[in-house]
Amino acid sequence: MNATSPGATWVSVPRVLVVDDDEVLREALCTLLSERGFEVVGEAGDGAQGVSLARERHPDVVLMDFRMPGMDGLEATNLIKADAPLVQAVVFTAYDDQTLDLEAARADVYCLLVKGCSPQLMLDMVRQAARRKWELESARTRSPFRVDPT
Amino acid sequence: MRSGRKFGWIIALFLILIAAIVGFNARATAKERETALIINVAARQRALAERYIKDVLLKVEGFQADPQEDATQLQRTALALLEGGEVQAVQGADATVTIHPMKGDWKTIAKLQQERMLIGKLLRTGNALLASDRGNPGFDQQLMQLRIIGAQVSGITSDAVGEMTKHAEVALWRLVWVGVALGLVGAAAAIGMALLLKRIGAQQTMQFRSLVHNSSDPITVLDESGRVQYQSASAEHVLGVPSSELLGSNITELIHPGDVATMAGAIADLLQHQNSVSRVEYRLGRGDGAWRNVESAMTNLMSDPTVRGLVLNTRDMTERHESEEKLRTLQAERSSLLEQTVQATELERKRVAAELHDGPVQHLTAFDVKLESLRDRVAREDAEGAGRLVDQLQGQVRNEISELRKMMTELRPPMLDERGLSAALSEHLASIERDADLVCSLECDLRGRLDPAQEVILYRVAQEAMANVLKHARAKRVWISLRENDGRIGLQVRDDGVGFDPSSISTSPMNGHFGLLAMRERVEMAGGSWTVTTSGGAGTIIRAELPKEIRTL
Repeated sequence: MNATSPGATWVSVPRVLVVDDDEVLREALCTLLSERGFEVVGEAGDGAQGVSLARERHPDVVLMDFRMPGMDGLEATNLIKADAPLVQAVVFTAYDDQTLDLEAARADVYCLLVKGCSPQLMLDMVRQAARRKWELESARTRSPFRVDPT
Repeated sequence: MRSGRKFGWIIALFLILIAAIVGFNARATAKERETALIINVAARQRALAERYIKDVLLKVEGFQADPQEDATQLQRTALALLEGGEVQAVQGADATVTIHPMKGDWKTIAKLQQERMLIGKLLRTGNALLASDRGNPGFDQQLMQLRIIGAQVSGITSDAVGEMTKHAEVALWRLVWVGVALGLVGAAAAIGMALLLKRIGAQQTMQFRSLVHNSSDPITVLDESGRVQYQSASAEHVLGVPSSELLGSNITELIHPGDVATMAGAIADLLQHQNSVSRVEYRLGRGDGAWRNVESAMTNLMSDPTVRGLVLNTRDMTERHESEEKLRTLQAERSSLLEQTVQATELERKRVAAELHDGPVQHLTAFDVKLESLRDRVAREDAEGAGRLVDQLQGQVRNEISELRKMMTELRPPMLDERGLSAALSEHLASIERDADLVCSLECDLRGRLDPAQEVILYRVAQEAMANVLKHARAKRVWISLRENDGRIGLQVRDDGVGFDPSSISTSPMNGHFGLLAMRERVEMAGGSWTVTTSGGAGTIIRAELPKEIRTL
């Protein structure tokens, strides 16, 4: 249950924060994530709320909509990662645009998903992102001086 | 052309008349001179007769004398006076005078015949006396007879000369009267000619004056210093003051201060070159303080003695300038409008894209995610959970369909094509009333459907007007009417809102009233008219009128 404890890394439940301005989609995502064994630690309707919840709830992964009123997904990701650099972000966008890939890479986004992809892919990506976070955390815990090659 | 030909005929007739008068005078003068000579010759008969008597007496007395010579001359002259011939002009001279046979003057002829008969009798008596002796008892008697006959010849000759003189006087008077008459006719002709010439000249002057005075472009004559010497009447149209008031003013006092240097330079240049022409554009002041844009063609006619000035032919370019300015403004407006149209199209696309993003794309993604959940529930055989999810999904799908229909209607209301303008507007207003706190009423008295292009224009105008009412007017009520009048379709959208300052839209489309200007442009391009009536706090009325006949663009 505790994702941060060493040795329990691969069986832990990923803690997910869902940030999307569309209530219907947000609710659908939360339902599916919960049903598939993820722990939804919170849901937010905009970027700013997402940043605030991330500080409060310490998620492993933030499933973030890209386009939202006010603060957009990338800006929110930057702020979250400024507080907790190991938190992984899976950004969900309706735009299939190559330039977004660059921006996403710059914001150190784990992956960028285009809406319309299969929900299973989305779930897999969230799970992988959580693993990535745990790997980084365990590497840091084992030796603060060793650089993890992955 | 016609007056020129007439003038030629009159000149020819006048010359013929002058030639006739001169010819008649010359002939009459010659005849008078001849008459005077003949009278002189006739008068000389009396002297000849007396000399004959004297010579006869001398010869009878035994002195040297030649009465026969006198007799010959008396007879020849008497014959010549009656029947014509050549006689000596002056006694003893070589010069001769030709006498034409006497005709017409029967009294003189009778006297001359009598004279000739008496001369014959005188000569016969003289011859008899010469043949007789001084001592003959009948000599004195014969001498007495000779003297008596001589006196008779002298008397009849005087009578004949008198008749001839009288006749010559009558002829002279006739000549004088004819001369006077001809002179009067000539004078009358000359006066007539002069009057005619004057009239033609005056007519031409009037014609020229009228042409100059009534030419639509003002004509001005300036002296060397730029002072107005002449001003045609048309200046009043341009300057609004009578042309007489301009006389004596300097041109530089009449033009815009900014153009004085240009005008002064142009005049100075022009004065350097005789008969040269130059053009100058400047502003002339009207009496009411406004300025007119004019162009003058200036000709230097200083060397022309009839003008002695600079002639300015001025054309009022104000309307042309204004039209050009208006055209430039219109072009700028249109170009700006085109740019705004392109921007508006892009904005609209962006809006549609954003709506698609925020609505259908999110919701369909959500449905996809929910279907994934449904798959889980079916796999778990959780019929109840699956049923709940299906119900939820169905409701959301229906909601989505409704949203998409709304979006589609905004893009292009199907009702407009299916049932026409009135029905589409009615539907649009009903939808506004559902969402906003606004009471809308629609009055329509159109007879049947309009052309689809017109229905779209009027629908968009109403839609834009309603969008403005919702965004800015803070109105409680809106009244829309559609009417057909004299072949024109009129749309009116009136609200009871706060109104706005109408001057803010009159300047340019850049002032953020693109919607209103786009409406106007749309209506005007279809050959219609568009107006907005508003003022702060008094609501707004937008009227659009289109001709029922379709204008092809």
